[in-house]
Amino acid sequence: MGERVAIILTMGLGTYLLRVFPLLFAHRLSLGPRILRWFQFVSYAVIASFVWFGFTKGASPAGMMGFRVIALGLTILVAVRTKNALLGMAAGIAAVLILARVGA
Amino acid sequence: MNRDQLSSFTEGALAAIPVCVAFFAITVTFGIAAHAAGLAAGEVLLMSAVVFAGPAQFPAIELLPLSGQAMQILLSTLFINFRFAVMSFALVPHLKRVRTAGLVAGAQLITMSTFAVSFLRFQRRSNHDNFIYFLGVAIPSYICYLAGTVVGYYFGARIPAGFEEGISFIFPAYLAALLGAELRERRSIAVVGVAFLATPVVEALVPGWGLILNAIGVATAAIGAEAWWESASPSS
Repeated sequence: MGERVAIILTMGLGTYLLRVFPLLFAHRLSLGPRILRWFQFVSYAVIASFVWFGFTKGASPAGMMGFRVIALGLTILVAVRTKNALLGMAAGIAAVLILARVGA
Repeated sequence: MNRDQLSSFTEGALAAIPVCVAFFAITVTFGIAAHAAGLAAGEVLLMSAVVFAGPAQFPAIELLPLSGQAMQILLSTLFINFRFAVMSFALVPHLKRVRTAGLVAGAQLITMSTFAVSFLRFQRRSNHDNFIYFLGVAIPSYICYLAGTVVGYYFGARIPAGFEEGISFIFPAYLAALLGAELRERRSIAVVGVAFLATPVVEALVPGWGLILNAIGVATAAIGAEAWWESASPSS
């Protein structure tokens, strides 16, 4: 079994345990509100860090960074206004494609 | 399955139609991005099947092709997916009559969307068929999720040149849109903003571990600030 498959299976196992553990043992567990809140913040912070990594990774030509800033702003704006992540994503990707064509 | 159960399952499946559409569209982009990242078809489908959580899968396809990232992938998966534990907690009062084997089998299908649709229905009307309703929502959603992954992966191989910039933007766009659509509370928005801006600084200080350490640091600081704020203003 390859290393990547092992990582994927471990990701799945860890995620599954997070899903099933409370269903089976909720009556024995008591996490304080502060701890639950901490995990919520960590979850958001990890996602925000990944946005930064993904945002800077693909911008190879120098001029593309400006386009990506605009597209990221549009992504967030549409998602916030419509409360629809799918629309926000579509708007951002379309913006990057259009701006890249116009700027090329 | 008796007539009542079939009715509950169908009710759930009908309520899942918007979830299916969204899952299919999101996983098509996931499949395209995974193909662009160089993952094998089997790896991509396996990930969708066993993880079944987009916010954790998108980062993983970026990190998997790099060597020495296993611990970072696993920790970030756990941190991102901790929300499922909170959702499972919330479902417990509504699934009291379900046998252990059913819970063990059904747990894999808990996602933000399948939880939200089911939980809202349980708030309106909770009965002995709750679990069947949940399966009605979750099973079609899971099938759409896998179908979208396969379609996206094979579609990804046929995308003409000139779309690379758009493909490389799928991953940050998906996560940013997810945060934009989900976050309403000011303190959570502040956590996201600080974490985003601090990432390059922490990554420069601790290469390879910046992401995890940054998230832990920002979350801990936010909890500390929140505790201080509450103690400083006891009336709030």
